[in-house]
This record gives sequence, structure tokens and C-alpha cells, in this order.
Amino acid sequence: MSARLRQYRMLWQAAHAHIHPRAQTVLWSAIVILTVAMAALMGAVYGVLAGLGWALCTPAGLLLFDWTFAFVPGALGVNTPANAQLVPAMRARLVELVLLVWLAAVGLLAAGLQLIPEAPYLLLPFAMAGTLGAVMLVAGIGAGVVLVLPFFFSFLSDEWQGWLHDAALQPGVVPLLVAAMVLLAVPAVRSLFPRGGERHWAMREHLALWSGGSGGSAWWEGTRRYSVRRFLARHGTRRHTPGALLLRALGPDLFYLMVSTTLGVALAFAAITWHLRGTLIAHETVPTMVMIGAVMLCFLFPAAAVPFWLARTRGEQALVRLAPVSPVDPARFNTLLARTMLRQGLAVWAWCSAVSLLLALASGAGGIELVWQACLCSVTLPALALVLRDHARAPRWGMVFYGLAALGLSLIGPILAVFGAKWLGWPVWSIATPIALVLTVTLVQRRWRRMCSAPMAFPAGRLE
Amino acid sequence: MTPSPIQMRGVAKQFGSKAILDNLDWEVRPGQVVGLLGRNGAGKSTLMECLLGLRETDGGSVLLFGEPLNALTDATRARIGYVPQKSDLFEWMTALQMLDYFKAMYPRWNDAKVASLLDRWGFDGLMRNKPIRRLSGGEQQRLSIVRALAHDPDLLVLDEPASALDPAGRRSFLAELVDGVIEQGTTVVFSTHILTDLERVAPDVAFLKNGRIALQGELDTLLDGARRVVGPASMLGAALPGELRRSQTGDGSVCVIVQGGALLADTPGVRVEPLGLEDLFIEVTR
Repeated sequence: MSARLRQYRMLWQAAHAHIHPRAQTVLWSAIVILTVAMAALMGAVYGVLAGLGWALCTPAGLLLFDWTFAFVPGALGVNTPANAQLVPAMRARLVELVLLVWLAAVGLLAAGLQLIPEAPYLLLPFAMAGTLGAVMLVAGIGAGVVLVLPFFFSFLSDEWQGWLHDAALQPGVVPLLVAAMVLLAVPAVRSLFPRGGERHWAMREHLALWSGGSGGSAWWEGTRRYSVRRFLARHGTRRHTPGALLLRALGPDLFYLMVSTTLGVALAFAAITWHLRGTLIAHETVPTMVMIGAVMLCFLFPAAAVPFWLARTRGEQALVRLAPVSPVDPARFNTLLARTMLRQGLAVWAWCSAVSLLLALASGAGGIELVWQACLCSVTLPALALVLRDHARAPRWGMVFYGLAALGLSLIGPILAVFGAKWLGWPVWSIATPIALVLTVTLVQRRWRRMCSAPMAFPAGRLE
Repeated sequence: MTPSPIQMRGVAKQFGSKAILDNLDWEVRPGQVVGLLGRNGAGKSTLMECLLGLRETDGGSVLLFGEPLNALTDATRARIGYVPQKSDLFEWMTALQMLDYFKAMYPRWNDAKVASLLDRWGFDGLMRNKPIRRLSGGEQQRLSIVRALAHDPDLLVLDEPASALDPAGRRSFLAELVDGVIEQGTTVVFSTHILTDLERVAPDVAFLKNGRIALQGELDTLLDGARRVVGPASMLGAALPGELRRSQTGDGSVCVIVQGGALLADTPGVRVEPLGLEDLFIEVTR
């Protein structure tokens, strides 16, 4: 193997190991299993050609997902200022490898789409723009939003979708977009990997905030970007109950941050929706459900954030554990922590639900729509159980994985309900809600028992 | 002529409104071993980061081996070793994986030295295959030093390298620094607060104060010439040759710190005391 290939292999492994020691195993297993499953399923339903197309598109999609949420964030972690500046050729190899993997995945996707009949024309340029924009945003480069926005609006607006569809039918438009994306990818990827300098240090701080490495102090610094920092400092330290003191190890006060973020996102979303009504967004598709979805994502975010920060604030947790207010008995300590986290999670969920219902009401939703929205809120409840676990032995995962776990738990109810609705003939939400509630109670009970009988939760991850 | 490993001219660096480096000039010659001293927050780490190009400077220029920082060739980069204050290792890798990773990146890699250092510094098979995050702070620091020495650098920059080491680890590290690095003619710049370490390995010292190198020279010469002169204000009214600092004592006498100036030892009423490195550090950086 040539020296350059060996360097690529090392960098690929190092970037994945940065996200999780078994990230590569998960990736390759998922690629093999899902590719075989999708190719067989689609081949049986739509014919051999479609099966072949899916056999190419599935690994391409998974590779692009891995590239966006695991490989590039890991590569950003590997590219420390000292390594970028001092290790010969490392930064150049990283840039090359990141581009090569992206091009390979995009090429695979393009080949697969050619084989699938009636495949959406714009999927390829959208996937290219979306992945590039997403990694730029992950790295803290705000310009990435320009690449992500068309992707976002294409979901939001029927008119926009129609316009894009017409544009895509013009000869040469899609190849031109693809070529533009490839040309854009080079400076975009280079901008992800600075060679030292203040921008690099700022990027490291941004990454530490979202991918761990630094503890509560980094998070606290991060709250500076919200203008609520002073408010948090004043109000977050007022409560002196033992439970509140335990949770303070995760930061000044997560609850206020979650509540203020929810309110901010909800109001911003409502304002944008209202402003674009009748222009980009058709009157009849004023996205009440999307609005609620956005607000509920605000709940899923904190549901994922609590276990994330629990695994990353060990220093602070050690100090809290030594404080006289902390129970000495592990069972009592864990029970107190579990109760406090669950109560806080429920409070945030109630807040998110109330905001989403009020927004729906304000946007003209009627009685049955409000009931549906309340049902939608309740299907996210199982994500509450994420905070209950054996924290002492829990492995550290990235924020994205906790987010996906929260989303996955929230989707169990609706997915089962789709089958149930076909069988029973009832509305989906009327089945999804009780399933979600039963799932929540079951998960919380089981995980509560496990957490309370586990070793002392703080410092989290010490027995991993 | 061999270019200087480090050449800094008029380097300035500010964080917000606070000037950390202020028009700093500094040159380190080939083979020189310099201990960089300064109080907490004086800017030693910032100086090291700026000289390696890890942070941009607000003004001035830095040359490493005659090359500007923004145009360092791979060959020059392969000649530089750096141990940061906080060991910035990849904590998710094992020690061996981390060393293999860097080995793939450097054109020159001294396997024998790595193996020997790992053996001597107590990295048995179990420790070598343990994730770095499970190693103690001192073990991580030692690994960071092994990594920095593995490619036989010509310039070694160490930012408080021994701060996390126990006395045995420190002694072993200093022995390696003297025998395996300094005697090979490597240029070394290192910062430390442990002055006894500095006295053992660094022939030259530089004091960083107010963003500039306030005093630099051979340690022995500096210590030989450093004196505290105490006497009545009437006798020490005028500035003394080599005067560094002047203050008033509680009884109204004047205390003057001089370096290399003419001595007043025979003057009645005037007391002249030699200064140790610790005293000199306190007086120069005050």
C-alpha cells in the first residue's frame, strides 16, 4: 500500500474513532444489511433495474449520512490547530480524503438514480448542497445555511417545488447544478480545515460545544450567543434544592435555556411562516403541523442534550458528588437525580406542547386539528426515558446519535399506528398516542429501576 | 549560513483590548536551549502558539528555519516538535494507535527511540493498548512527549512539559531531554515554573514581561551578575548601571535590582546581596 493510501486509511479510521470507537462497524453493518434489504425489496416490487438502482443509492445515502454526521465531524476533531499546522501534509490529506469520499458517494448516488425509474431529478444536487451545507454548519460556518435553505424550502412550499420541478426539466439544468456543486465543494471543504489561527480555535470551541470534549464551561461559554446568559446566571443559581444542585453540574441551568430556545424558535418559525404566507407558502398549506414539528424538535433537542452533557461534565460532577448536599448512598443519589431529570424533562415537554398548541390555535387550527396536534406532542414522550440509564457505565455518544435515538423513540408510536390504522380502520393518531403513552410508561419504569440500582451516576461514564 | 530556528520581529498579539505580546523581538539560535519564564498569564503559551503559527499575530513577522509561518514547507514542519500545555492527544485511540497514526504522517520516524522511551517510561503492553483517555494525566503527558520526540525534531517547543509529571517522571524526562535531545544539538524552547528543572537543563533563560522579553541571557551569567542593592536614598539616588528595578523598603531605604552593573559592595551603608533564580524571577517579572 502506498504511503498516501496508508495516510488516507489512518485518517478515515481516526475520524470515525473520534465519533465512536465502533462507528465504522455500525456504518459497514448498516450499509451491508440495508443495501441487501432495499435491493431485494425494491427489486421484487419494481423490477431488477430498480433493485440495482437501490443497491447503489442505499449505500450512497448511508455514506453521505456518515460523511455529514460522523466522518467530517470526526475529521474536524482530528484537525487540531497543532496538527494542522505542524504535522506534514495532514491537513492536505484530510481535505483530499473528505472530498474523495463525498465525490464517491455522490457518484454512487448519481449512478443509482439513473437506474431508478422516475427518480426525482433534483435529488442529486439537493443531496450535494444539503450535505455540504450541513457540514459547514456543523463546523460553525454560517454560510452553509445558503446551501441548506433551498432544501428546506422545497419541503415547505408546493409552489417552490413546482417551480423547481419545471426548472429541472430544462435540458442541462441538473448537470449544471451538479457541476456547480462539485466546484463549490473544493473551497467549502478547504474552509472546514483551517491551518491554525484564531478562526481555527473558534471552530474548536464551536465543535466542543456540540460534540463534547469540553465540559460545562464550554457550554456556558456557548450560551453567550443567546442573550439570556445574564438571566440564566441570575436565576439559575437561585434554586438550592438538592436535585437542582445536582443538575447544575450540567451547566448553569438547562431548563431556562431549553424554555427560552423553544420560545425563540417557535416565535421565529411562526413569524417566517406568517410572512411567507401566500408567497412562498401557499395559504392552504400553512404548515401548522410543520410548526408543531419544529417545536417538538425543540423538545427532542433537550431530551437528547441532557444525556449528552451528562457524559461530558465529569469534572463538575465529581465536585458536586463531593458536596455535602449530595446523598452518599448510590441508590438515593441516583433516585434523586432520576426524579429531578424526569421532572425537568416533563416540564420542558409540557412547555413545548403548550407553545405548539397556542401557535396552532393562533394560526387558525380548529378543534380536531388541535387534538391531532396534542397527539403529535404526546408521541415524543418516550424520548423522556433517554435520561434514565446506568450513567456510570454509559458510553459517550455524539449529540447527533442522542438526537436520532430521541427521534427514533418518538417514531415508534406513529410507525406502529400506521399498520394498526390499516388493520383497525381508525385514525393514525388515535392509535399512535396510546402506544406512545404505554411505551413511555414501560420504558420509564424499566430504565428507572436500572438507574436506581446502578452505581453512583456521577461522574458519568467513569466505568465505561 | 544556517537560518535561526526562531526569528520573531515586532510580534504583537491582543486578546480583546489586552495586549499579550507587544512588539516582541526574539531570536533563538541553532542548538540553543532556552527556558522561557514569566508569571501566570504573562503570555508564554500565547508566545509559543504564535511562534508556531497556531495563532495569528496582530503584527510583526515570525520565521521558522528562515521560512515564514504561512509558507512552511512539509520538510520544515517535519523538523518541529511541540508538546502543548494540555496534552492534545486523541483520547479515543490507544497509545500505539496514536503513535502509528502520526508515524504515517512523518517522513522520518525513530521507531527505536519510541520503543525505548515507552519501555523506560513504564508503558507496558497493557498500557500501550489502553485508550488514551484512561491513562493518567502524567502518562498522557509522557506520551505527548514521546510523540513530539519520535520524529527527531530539530526544534522542540515544550509548553510546561513537566507540569503533570511526578518527581521520578520529571527526572526521567529531564535526563532524556539532556541526553537524547540537547546533546544532539536540537534547539529547545521550553516554559516551566519549576525553576530547579530549568537550572538543570537550560543554559539560557528569557523572561517574558508586559508582552516583551524583558531579560535574556546565559543563566550562569545572569545569576553571577544579579544583585539586590539596599541602601539609603541619599546614596542610591541616581540610576545604577544595569538597574532593572527600584523600590522603597519599609524603613525608607531604597532597594535596587541590578544585573551585571558595577557593584557597590565596599560602600559603607550599602548592602549588596546575590540573587538566586527564584529571586531574579520574582524581581524581573514583578
